[in-house]
Amino acid sequence: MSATIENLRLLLESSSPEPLRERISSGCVPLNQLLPDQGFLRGSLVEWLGSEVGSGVSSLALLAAREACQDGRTLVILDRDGQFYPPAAAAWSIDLDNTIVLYPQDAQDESWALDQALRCPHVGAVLSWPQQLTSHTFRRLQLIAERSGCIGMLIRPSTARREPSWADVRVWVSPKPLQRPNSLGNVSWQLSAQILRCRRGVGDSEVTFEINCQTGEARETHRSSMVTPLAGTTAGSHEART
Amino acid sequence: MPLAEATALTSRRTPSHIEEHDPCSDQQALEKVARRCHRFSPLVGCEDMDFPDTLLLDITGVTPLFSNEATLVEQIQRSFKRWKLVARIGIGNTIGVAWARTRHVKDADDLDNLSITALRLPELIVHTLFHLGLTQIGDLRPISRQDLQERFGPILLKRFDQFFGDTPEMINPVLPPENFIVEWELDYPLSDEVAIRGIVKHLLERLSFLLSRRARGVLQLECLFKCQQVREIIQVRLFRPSADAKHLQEITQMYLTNIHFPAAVDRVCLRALQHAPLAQHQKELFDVEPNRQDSLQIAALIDRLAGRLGHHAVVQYQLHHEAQPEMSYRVRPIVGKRCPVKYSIRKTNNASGLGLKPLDRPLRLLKDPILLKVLGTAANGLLTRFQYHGCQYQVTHHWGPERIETGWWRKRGICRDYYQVETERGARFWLYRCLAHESWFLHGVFD
Repeated sequence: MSATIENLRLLLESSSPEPLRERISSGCVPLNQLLPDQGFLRGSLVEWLGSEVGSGVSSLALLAAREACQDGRTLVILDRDGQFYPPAAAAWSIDLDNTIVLYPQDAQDESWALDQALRCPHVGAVLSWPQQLTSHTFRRLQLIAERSGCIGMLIRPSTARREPSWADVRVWVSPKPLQRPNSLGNVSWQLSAQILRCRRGVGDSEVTFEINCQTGEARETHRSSMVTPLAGTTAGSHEART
Repeated sequence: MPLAEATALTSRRTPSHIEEHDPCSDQQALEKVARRCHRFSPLVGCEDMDFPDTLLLDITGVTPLFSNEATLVEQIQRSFKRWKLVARIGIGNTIGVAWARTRHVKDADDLDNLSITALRLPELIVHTLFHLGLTQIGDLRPISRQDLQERFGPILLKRFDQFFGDTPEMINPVLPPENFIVEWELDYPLSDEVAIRGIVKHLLERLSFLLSRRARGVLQLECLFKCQQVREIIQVRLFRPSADAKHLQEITQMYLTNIHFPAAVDRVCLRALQHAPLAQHQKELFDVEPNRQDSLQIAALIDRLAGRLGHHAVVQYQLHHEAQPEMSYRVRPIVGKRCPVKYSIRKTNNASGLGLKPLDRPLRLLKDPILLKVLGTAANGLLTRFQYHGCQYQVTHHWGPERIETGWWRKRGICRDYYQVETERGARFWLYRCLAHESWFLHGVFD
């Protein structure tokens, strides 16, 4: 039985070669250098995990979403809590005229809206803060994104780290305290991004960078060179890992 | 009058209501009045201006039906009074003269003596003409047409000629409303939901046919189900006009899933409450179809989302120049809106207009600021330790204050000192000290 399944899997893999997908910058140069494709690929799900409240995880996800919509595609934001603050997004150069914001009432509506938005090929990126995602839903979303070419930015709480994931890239974001006090006019923010898993594997696993408050640009301050085990390389071998 | 001045003039005891100027709604209201005026003239239109406020009625050959012009004017005034509207009416041989008579001397026969403002000119040109001492229409006659053209452009001569009837001026008609209604009377009341959906599907096909014939698409659709004594009504709003039966069925079925019929249905009626012309596209030599397909896909997505989440749950944001953080943007639902193209030119919607840089504001702003439990303060009164959601945070760095104050022009003014603080683990929060109560609030999280 297991041999048959394995044969079928090999057959599927050989019959449906992975199409060449467009690379999208993550909007953060140090993070790009950490990723095997120097960014994310269209048609993928990126799971962003924040270590704590105020970790800057949403800002990094928004930057990546902005890059995915540079060619005029629409950005869809699912704001279930109603806490998304548009002037802050506009300050990060988000085109609000090309952004649709949804207010789902409950988790069911949120999941449905996420599904619908990801299906639309003209949507560049979908930004969402789902608290809970079942493995079944996650897998469905991943297949939808793969088919439409849309990028799903899923911002999850730190507790989701222990849950299985179907995301192509999993990024753990944690803030780092500033070593030196800055003057009022020179506020920068030090963050650390760690790639927990990536579909095509990674060399460096963690990078620390500083975001300049004036320009929004990120400058690398430290990189660790740990080599992490690589994840599977084909859609067929996308098993959920913890 | 600026809003601040108007607010200051209102009494403190009298509650004031502030409504944003909506030229699109103004236009729609004027068109509504124009349609009512078809009882006085077969050709009624709005003046061709950016912000029209005048109705134009062609009464050529109509006056005998009302005995004379005075009776016609009297009847129009009576009707407007009944509609609780005040109208100034002017009759003239040209649109320009009639327009001038509504604003100036009604029975002025000597048109040359009328003020230059009667020519419907832009304010800047009127100001310049007054500055040059040309205050009456007749003052323009001695000046050569070439000079006027060179100095003021074509608009002055155009209006001058239209005023005296030397150049024809057309009335852009507001057509009487077209009603698109389809209904199904049942001999026997029906309670089977599948069968009712089948009827709706059939009616939608008929409605789409009617709309397509007139090259119009529905923007707002009313579905009425008469359940014996009770009426159930659902209103379907769309992002862009559609006469596509399949698309309308898909959206309507979503709304139908949320409806429960209290009794068997004996009548189903569908009515296009709001409809607009369908977009027409010229075939292109080169392939630009993908762009159009993309926008159609987005429109279909928005309709589906609004169908399930509700039209208030699918929005766009418009930045607003306002110091108070929670009031610095406006939420605009994007379905079921009909707006003339000339109003779709949006205001600048970027943060540079607000003078914001990245990290100036948090990405998450709490709807209601949370009163913080202060665990420690420095000698200068700044917060050093606080508790939020059961966790204790030690402030290691802070930037600020940024004073945000809104006061005398608003009933509930604020006076806050905002600080961006960093905790010992590097997390960032946006706090403020309320100067009125000397208490600390969490207003945003740099997430």
